[in-house]
Amino acid sequence: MSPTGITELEIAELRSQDDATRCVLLAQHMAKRAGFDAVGQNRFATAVSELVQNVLRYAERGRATLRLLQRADTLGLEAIVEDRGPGIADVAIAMQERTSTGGGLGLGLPGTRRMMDDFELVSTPGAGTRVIIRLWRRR
Amino acid sequence: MNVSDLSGRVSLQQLQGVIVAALPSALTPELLLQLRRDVLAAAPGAELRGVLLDVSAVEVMDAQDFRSLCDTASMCRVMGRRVIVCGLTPGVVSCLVDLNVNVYAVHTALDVDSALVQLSTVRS
Repeated sequence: MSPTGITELEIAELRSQDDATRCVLLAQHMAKRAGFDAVGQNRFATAVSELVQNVLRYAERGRATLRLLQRADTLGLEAIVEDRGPGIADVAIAMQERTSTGGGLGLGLPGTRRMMDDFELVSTPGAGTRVIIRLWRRR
Repeated sequence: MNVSDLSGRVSLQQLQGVIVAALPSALTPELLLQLRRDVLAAAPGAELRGVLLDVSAVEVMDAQDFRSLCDTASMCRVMGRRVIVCGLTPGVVSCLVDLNVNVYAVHTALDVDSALVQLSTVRS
């Protein structure tokens, strides 16, 4: 257990809409317990929501790993959302506004990047996609 | 963590000729679609002045959730009913702006009271 009393690591398998919703609630809960303000909690949970919905929409199943990060001066949260779905053929295009190959808005990834301090995306067509996001608590 | 109400249904209440739907803290695409069906089914009712979608309890709203609400509002407008989304919290609004969704796609109000005032002063 961490100094804040929250579990440091949560792994959520994503197979259904209920799994996705639980994962988002978990993200929000962790952000709250880590001392993020309402806007910070919202940012982290909404970013996780965008990513896990992409997993269900395009890969059908995947996994989210939520982790508490500690730095000397502050706390942060990390989410690793990964799947073995079709992957993204052109990441540069996916990161532009308003492109989508599916039923979504095509806004999720650039918007998610804007909300986070760190955003890393690795995708291999035919092998899957992994997105890592981090948000640090403001001091 | 209580997740027992995840697949629940939003109950609709009528207040001064206005349908009020109070959305729960956690949204799912299914819940929003069921809400749309229920609101559209109730929309033709006589003496109806409008529909309020109260999202003050909603903690997380992603772009897809917001678009779904906007689509429901558009469908009601096509039927001649005004829809106001009220109670958007600062955290939700901040994320919607970051997500670059069209936040002006739907009429909004600070809370249920101001939404009722809007409906009583502006005819659909």
